[in-house]
Amino acid sequence: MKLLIYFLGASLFYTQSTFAQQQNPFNNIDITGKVTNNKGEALANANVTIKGGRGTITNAQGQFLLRKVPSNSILEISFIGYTTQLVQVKGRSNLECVLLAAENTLDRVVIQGYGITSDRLRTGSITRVTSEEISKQPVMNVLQVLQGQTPGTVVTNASGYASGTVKIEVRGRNTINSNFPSDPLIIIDGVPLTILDINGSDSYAGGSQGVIRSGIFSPASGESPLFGINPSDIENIEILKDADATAIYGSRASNGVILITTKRGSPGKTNFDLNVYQGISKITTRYDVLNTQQYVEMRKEALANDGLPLSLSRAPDLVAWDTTRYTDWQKFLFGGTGKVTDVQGTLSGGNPQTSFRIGAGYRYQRDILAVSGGNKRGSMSLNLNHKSANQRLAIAVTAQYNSTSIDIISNPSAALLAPNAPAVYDTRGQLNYDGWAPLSFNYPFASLFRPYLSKSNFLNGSMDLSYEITKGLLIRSNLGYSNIQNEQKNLITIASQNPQFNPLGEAYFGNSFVRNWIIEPQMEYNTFIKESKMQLLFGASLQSNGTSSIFASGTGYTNDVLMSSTNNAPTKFVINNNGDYKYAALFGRINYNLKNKYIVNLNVRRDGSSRFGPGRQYGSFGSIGAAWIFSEANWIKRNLDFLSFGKIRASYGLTGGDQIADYSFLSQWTFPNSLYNGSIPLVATRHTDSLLQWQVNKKFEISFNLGFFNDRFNIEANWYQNRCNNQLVQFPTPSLTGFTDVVSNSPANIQNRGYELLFSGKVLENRSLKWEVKFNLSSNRNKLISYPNFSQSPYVSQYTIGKSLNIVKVLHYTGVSPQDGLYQFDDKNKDGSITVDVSGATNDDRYDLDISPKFYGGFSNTFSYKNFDLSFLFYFKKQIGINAFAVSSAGGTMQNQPKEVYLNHWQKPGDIAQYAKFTTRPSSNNSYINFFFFSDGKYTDASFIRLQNLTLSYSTPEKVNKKIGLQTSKIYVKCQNMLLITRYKGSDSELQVFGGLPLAKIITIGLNCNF
Amino acid sequence: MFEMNKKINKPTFSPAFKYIGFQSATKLKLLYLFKGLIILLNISCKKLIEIPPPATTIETSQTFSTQELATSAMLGVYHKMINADGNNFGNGAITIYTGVSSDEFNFFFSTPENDQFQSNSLSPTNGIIGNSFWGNGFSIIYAANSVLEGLTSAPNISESAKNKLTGEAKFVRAFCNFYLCNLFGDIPLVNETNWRNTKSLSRASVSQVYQQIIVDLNDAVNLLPPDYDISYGQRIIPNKWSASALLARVYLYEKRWEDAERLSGEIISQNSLFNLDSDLRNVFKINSSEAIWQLQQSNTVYPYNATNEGERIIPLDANSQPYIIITNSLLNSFEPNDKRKSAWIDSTFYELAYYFYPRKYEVGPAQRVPNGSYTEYYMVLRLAEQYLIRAEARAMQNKLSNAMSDLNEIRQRAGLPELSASLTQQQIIDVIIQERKIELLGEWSHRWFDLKRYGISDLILAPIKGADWQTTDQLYPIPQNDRLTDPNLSQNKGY
Repeated sequence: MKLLIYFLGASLFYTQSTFAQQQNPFNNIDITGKVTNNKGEALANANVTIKGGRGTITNAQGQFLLRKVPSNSILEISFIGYTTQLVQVKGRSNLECVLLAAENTLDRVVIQGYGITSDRLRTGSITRVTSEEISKQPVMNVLQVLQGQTPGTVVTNASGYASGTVKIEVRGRNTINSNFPSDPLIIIDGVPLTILDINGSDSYAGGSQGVIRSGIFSPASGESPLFGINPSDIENIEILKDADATAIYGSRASNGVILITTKRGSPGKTNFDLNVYQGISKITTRYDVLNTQQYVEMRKEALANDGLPLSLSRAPDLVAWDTTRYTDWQKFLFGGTGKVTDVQGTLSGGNPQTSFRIGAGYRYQRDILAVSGGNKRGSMSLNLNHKSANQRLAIAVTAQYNSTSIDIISNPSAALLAPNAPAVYDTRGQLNYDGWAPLSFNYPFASLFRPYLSKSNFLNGSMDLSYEITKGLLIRSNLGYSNIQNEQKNLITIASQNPQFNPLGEAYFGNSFVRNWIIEPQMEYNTFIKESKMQLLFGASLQSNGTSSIFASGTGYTNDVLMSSTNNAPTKFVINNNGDYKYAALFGRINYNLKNKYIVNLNVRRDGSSRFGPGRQYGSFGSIGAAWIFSEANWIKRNLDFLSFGKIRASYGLTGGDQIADYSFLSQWTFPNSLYNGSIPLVATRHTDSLLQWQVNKKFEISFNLGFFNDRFNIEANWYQNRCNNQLVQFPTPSLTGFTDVVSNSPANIQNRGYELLFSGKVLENRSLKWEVKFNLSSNRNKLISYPNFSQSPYVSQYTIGKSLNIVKVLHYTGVSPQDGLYQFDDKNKDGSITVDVSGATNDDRYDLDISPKFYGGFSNTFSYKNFDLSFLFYFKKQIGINAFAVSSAGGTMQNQPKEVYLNHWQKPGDIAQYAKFTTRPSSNNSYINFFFFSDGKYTDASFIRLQNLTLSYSTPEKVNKKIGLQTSKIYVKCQNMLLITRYKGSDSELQVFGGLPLAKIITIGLNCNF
Repeated sequence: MFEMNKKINKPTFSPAFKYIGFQSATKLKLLYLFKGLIILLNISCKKLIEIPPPATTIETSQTFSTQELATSAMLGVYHKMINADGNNFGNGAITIYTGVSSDEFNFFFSTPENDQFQSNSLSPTNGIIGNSFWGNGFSIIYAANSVLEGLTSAPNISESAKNKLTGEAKFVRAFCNFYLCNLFGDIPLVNETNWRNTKSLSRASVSQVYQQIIVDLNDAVNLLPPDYDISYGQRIIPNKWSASALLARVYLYEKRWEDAERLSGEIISQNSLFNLDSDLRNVFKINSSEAIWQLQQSNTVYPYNATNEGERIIPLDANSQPYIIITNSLLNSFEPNDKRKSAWIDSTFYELAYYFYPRKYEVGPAQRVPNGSYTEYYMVLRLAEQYLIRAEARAMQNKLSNAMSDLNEIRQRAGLPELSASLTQQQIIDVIIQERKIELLGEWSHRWFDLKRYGISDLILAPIKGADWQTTDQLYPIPQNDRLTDPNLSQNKGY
């Protein structure tokens, strides 16, 4: 830290002295001036340089003084987000300069950690999604918008529910085990969205469970916190990926950072904007399964193959059930039509001193499940900006308050039910347990009568205060607060249970509370030292989070009408969970920019986290990034005039992670809810590792950016390599130790290496026709580089050194034996039999199969012709996935099968078939049928190209608008997930769910008016 | 605003004067602010990230800070045995699944996992093996070990209290080791809680495990009181006799006949505590005079005042579907007029057929009541077994008449005639096998272990199970998950 002060002091001093040394040619003049934007707002810290030479910056009022300027020189006035302006001095000593917002995408504002930059000047890797791109997609959760638009970021829906969680992974998998989510740090208007995992429900595969912390079951397996945020309130989403961009967030940046910035008011006439749309959603693809006749044949054949009788105990589905009945279970489950209604209104305006924006929105969305309530969201947002009369004090307040209500049921996992299964409801409209005898215990539709309600409120508020002490020196503080409250109710009604057992009702109530506050005092100093611009930032961050939950259950209800409260329950049970987390950091950044040609950026951060034991709480992180904008070199300007922009940048740094449960370093004993011998028992809850420490990720990136023909076409190519070798994991321990895992640092050294390509271009730019293309492609290669003493590690059976963490160990499937109809596999170790040694100790017959996506990306086109705008976005992914024909158990069991299996299975010796003979006992001894599910036969190409979004809009001509008193108005059609191009046979090649709720297509039509 | 530049000091190039540049008032303020901030942060850094201790849990050192809490930790061990979720190691899984693996029961409806027990074709991935048997068993051992370790640094707890708790923990550890080693053969011997030391254990031989069991049980016999005062006369906390009873069984399995006879004799002679109740229906009730150790289920958690076994095995009513049914071979092996057949077996008439199921416990799904008062506890060790142990130990030492008198005690209660005095040693041993089969039917894997112990598994099971049966099926497979995480665990033969 001393060093930083020294440096700061030295640079201040240096600034002074250089000015003092200036020569004073007799025709030089002192120029004063003012820089504003076209709305009349003064631009502070704008750069004013003598072209190619020294410069100064503006103060809070936008004023500058540049001494001893040759009277014939040209001044270059620039500010991030505005088009740079060149002004000929021509002897004037006072200049008024109005900068216009940048048209060129390279110069638009990009939000970075604790500041702003632009694509031109940034030294780090930042991807931006704008409100314009967000508004095209009629989705409820803004994270879904990121799909296909953000290179290096894999966004996956955890379920087909609108409220479901969304898993985000930036630049590959960093963690060797599966118990911690890979979610990046999400910051909304400066407030980190921290929710503590107080009930241990998060995982790598499922991601974070979001706002639900009570431990109650939720049909959508969690609730995304971003589900509460209104996408219409969001101005920008920035994804920070490399060390340079993320190291300022130090210890929490190892998985990347997502910055969400909400919309702000801007000076201008008071403006009211109304946007309304409505639409429907439907299932996209379905699974082609057997009809009853085929199913019965399959079952009989399987029994015959097994030499088993057609008896009640062996085949109750054929003996006790009507074998002529047919139900299309997929139609029953997903045949519904979802509905979407979305209404947004915003009022904004103000003057250069005070501006505001007030937004309100409502959305209703019903999922395609045949039996379901829906999802509702109401939201309010407020932004107020004010500057003092002397412009030195600025204050900005933003707040969003959102309220959501979810009324869903757990989707019965019944898509592959026997097609002759009895009716769901009996004649009285009750659940048909009786009709399902003797398989009543397998009746899958109980959830239809088990309502689930979840209500959440989400407040996110922040205040930015800044004060200019003297020109270029700013003190500032972010103050933020967020609060999430969630209440859940899940009723196991009597009506949902088998009446035969005289059931009693059970009601579960969950409440989760999350409180976050953050204070981040900062000091920033901007100055010129001769020709170079320096920016120094020094700050501190203090965060405190409390997450708590209450789970209450009432059991023994004798009547469903009593179930709204635990008060009516004969037996009550309450548990609560609680977590506290505190975090403190000091951080600094030095940015050095020489003539916009050479840029060096240095970040340091020292962090302390309450998640580690005494003596291990602090860690230091940092990065260095540098860029050379070679297109500024004169020889390029002279010789390659088509090359309007060229930049090489590189960064290296350390970021960290503390994403583990709180108190992990402490041993913990708890009281279960019962008595023994009249006293309360105490049980230890887990293993502990008192040596827990920070995880450190090393990130390196190199990138080329090129712009052609006045930046009409832009290319960016990034190559990165990230390594992590003391990651925090839930280390698997054999259950013989007492527990199956322990939170610990793993010595696995994992590398993610990959590239990202971005291309954007304005192909056509006529007066009436415009065509813009954007393309991005990412590929990531994951590799376990080393692991000390690997053969003794719990991972030896799962992973291979030198291979990806996403490998599965599988047999190589070679087809169905024509003789006996069993699956055959490659005898890799040539020992004469097919062996699977899951312990990994011996050389068995399995191969490594990497199932991570090969590449993925997006391709979008925007056309505008006169008043029409058409845009579409394709999202593509090259991957292998689980074969739709190998998801259920082998053919012959009491489960429906895809037609494909039925039509191509083995029946008699000599058959050349693709699928094995039918059997009712696929897991019995001496059968290779189940081995199929541990073979590469289970996997298939699941690549797809999805038409993620299609938007067509028509803006009414100005004449019409004037007549009806509108500023602008637009009608539009927005469609989501309209088309899927894939060779994959199954319900959904992205989710690969077989019976779960698939993704739906959404078609909406809407109207946008601006008064 | 522009006056800043006017107050420039003359430049100087000595580093010592670097800070001169800060002499203007603003810059001094700035410097102080920076310095202040750093000092402030350094002082309060510790404070800034200090969080209150967890609200819902306590640490190990706190757990063993008072006698009351340490006792609670031991109660936690029993809680894990009897109240663990579902069908588990200590509350019924051993009885039900080994009964199905042997010739006692069949499942009425089989799930694929249950089917593997019935057809003796267990997969190492079977969840019941992995969780209910292995995982749950070792988690109880962990809990017992954590009590033993906690007591070693517990200055506030009296020696006598420490002794009692140590005895209980060692007893439970021995109990779990006994069952795990009989189910799985060689098992890892886990005597501590530190996962760094236990995570890569390999399997210890059965004889090593037995050595440890015998050491633990002898300690327990010496440390535990000879009464049930600690549990107010209820027999839900193991005492000296519980440890002796298990030790007698261990000696029997180890063919140490004299030791087995001595220990079971000591227990049988405690007339003031233990008697064979003439009413067979009272045997499994709370405070049964036959009980040496029972586990107390919690009446606040499901299945409340029913035992887990009762909840599972007893059909809802006389016309409901059974869960497990007694095999015909077992039904047919009752001697005529055996009162145990009517007292401990019941039937349900379902879908036009009678099915018989064990009904040692009487509170089932239709009888249980949340918070209901207890009528029965889950029996773990009881006196009749001690008679059978002594009979066997005596028979093996050729003390035939003594052996027969023990057997007759059991037969008499069951309403069966006395044995003929002319039986040979082999005949008496056959009677013992038969009596154990009937008396201990559906209890804690006695039949499954006896078949293995007498070496008659192949003889008895091969004809019943057919081609599914292999000799190696006598031992369950080591669960796959633990073999994945502990590369030193070998698999049993045949899996």
